[in-house]
Amino acid sequence: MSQAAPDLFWEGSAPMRDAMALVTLARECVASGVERRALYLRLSLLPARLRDPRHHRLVREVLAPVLRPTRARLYELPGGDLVVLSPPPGEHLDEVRKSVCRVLPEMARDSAMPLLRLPAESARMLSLLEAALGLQALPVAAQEIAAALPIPSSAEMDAALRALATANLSAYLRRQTIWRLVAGDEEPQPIWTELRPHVPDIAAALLPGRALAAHPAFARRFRHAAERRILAELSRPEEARKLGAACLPLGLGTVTEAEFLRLEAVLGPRGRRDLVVCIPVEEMLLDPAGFALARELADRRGWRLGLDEMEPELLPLLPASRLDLPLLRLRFRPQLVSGDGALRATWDAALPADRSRIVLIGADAPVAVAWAWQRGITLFGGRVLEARL
Amino acid sequence: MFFPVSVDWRTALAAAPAGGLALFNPARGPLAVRQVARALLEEAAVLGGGQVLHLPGGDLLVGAQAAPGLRAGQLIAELTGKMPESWPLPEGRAQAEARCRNASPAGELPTLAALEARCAALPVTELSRLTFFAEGTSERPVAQRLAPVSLGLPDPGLEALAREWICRRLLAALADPAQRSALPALWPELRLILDLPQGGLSKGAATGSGIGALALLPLVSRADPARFASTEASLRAAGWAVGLVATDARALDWVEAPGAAWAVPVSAVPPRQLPAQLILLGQPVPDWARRPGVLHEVQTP
Repeated sequence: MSQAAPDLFWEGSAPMRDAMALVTLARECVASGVERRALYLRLSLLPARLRDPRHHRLVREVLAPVLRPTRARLYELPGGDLVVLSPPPGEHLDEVRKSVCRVLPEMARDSAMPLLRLPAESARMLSLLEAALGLQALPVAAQEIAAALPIPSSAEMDAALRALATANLSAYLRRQTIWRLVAGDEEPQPIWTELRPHVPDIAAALLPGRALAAHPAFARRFRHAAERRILAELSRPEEARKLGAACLPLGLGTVTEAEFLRLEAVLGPRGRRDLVVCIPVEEMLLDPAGFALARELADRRGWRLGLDEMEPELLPLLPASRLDLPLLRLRFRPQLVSGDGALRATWDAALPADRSRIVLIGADAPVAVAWAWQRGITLFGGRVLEARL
Repeated sequence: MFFPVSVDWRTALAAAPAGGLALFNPARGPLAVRQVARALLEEAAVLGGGQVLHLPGGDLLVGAQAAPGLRAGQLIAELTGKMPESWPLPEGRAQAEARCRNASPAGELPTLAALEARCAALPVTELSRLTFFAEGTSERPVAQRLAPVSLGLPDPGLEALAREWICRRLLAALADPAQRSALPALWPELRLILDLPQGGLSKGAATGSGIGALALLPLVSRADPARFASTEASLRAAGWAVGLVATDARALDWVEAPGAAWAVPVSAVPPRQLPAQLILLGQPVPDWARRPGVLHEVQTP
């Protein structure tokens, strides 16, 4: 994805729009059975020395005369790939191929310039588009990587929890910004500072060689203990005064612990108005009574309680029509763009109608912003915005 | 209206000025509820002058003024459903003292290792409870539930962990003829409802009794959709119906699980939408539950 970096900003959103348009088109071909031919020029595969603007211009100059008299359309993708789309039979696409080979012999391979028949080869087209959109570069879940290590024993957990209870975790505190970014705006606006302990690093220090994430119940306890230490720091009056508009992703068990309740009290009615707390979905399912208590407490005390770590697949289980919350932090997943159409429709239907309540987290690729904007979602947390500033 | 902070709660009660208040929240119910109540008492002590003393049997607010304490008590009652007990001071001092002295002390939370050891040491005869269920207005049992024993821990995270550990032992005992005789005898003519650990049945577990029986998976297992789908599929393939068990009936209002059977603790008010099948755990059985599609607990046949 690094090679695609210059194209990843939303200002240069033409390639993003083109990519999204092709995704839609590939799907429509499947739905309607309409035939199309697509020549996919994977210019992003070229060695770096051949990917400068000069070469790009050269390719476009070669393409222009071949395409002008035809009904073919050219799409530019993030990362520099080009797609020429034409109704069948599309003989001129072969001519395009030959011309490109003349100026760039490095492209003279089928894998570099696949000619795809839609709808039959839509799946391949979609996977190429996903690569161009940066979806494949999204990080693999930590759980999968850690699976090879043994889980900690109860005794090891107890020792780690004891060590955590007095540890100073200020070095492990992560601050991220939640942004509002509206299509057409020059600059994203910071809305909240998200504060959380970086649990994987703390686990690596206190439980080395153990796969904490592979045992969800242990991982939750560990996380709660880490959060309590962070909150103990934040609730010192001089720290609490500086807190400002904050979004705290917290475990449900943490919200009713003394450390959070102290922070909540120290903030006072005004400070609490700027406070948002988000509970992971799994903890809400584990302890509905505790969630009801936290929700009631939030209402009475004037802070807001939302849900964290909402996965697309969990949306139909917890539709906004049933559980109306002031905030929903939805994690961006490639399936939101590339998944089965009927499934994606059920996910859309479960979103809160008031889109200002949704924060798209894990917005690490521009496609996440594109997906969100199509649905009126404008709050983001993730690398795509952090990297820009 | 401030008075000296005392280490001893009796001295604190004695030192409270006229017009003061003693408010006692006994250590009962979930830890979360106790901690929220404690925080609200602490705030009342700051606002009205006074102090909160943490006694073995609960938290005692000794307030210089009555109003902040009474407001906190009201809020605690609204949040937790239980009103703390209060006495005007100095008149109620003797009563407050007696109540604080006689409150039974709260148990300590076990460490994870202690909890695991406790679950591992439970005799097979104490692993499970067999309860019986009738449908609608009938009192004739139609189903039996074999469930892991609840340890009654005040921390839902620990209780869920214990449930997992005990469920696994229960499954192992069911599959082992030598241990099975120590479990409650099942009634062949009644439908079986069996609580399973999050991962369902392990490979090779005896599934002979699975035909037509209902497997209950904890609601939290839905948080991992891929794992839940595969657990559910293998249970169905072995002839089980699959339902969910939640620790509180309010989950029914929030979670959309069409067609699923749900087991939840009894609640005074019915859920907003009834699931296809509802199994109400515990007693007393509310009147709204006596309708078709709702199972309620009955005495041993």
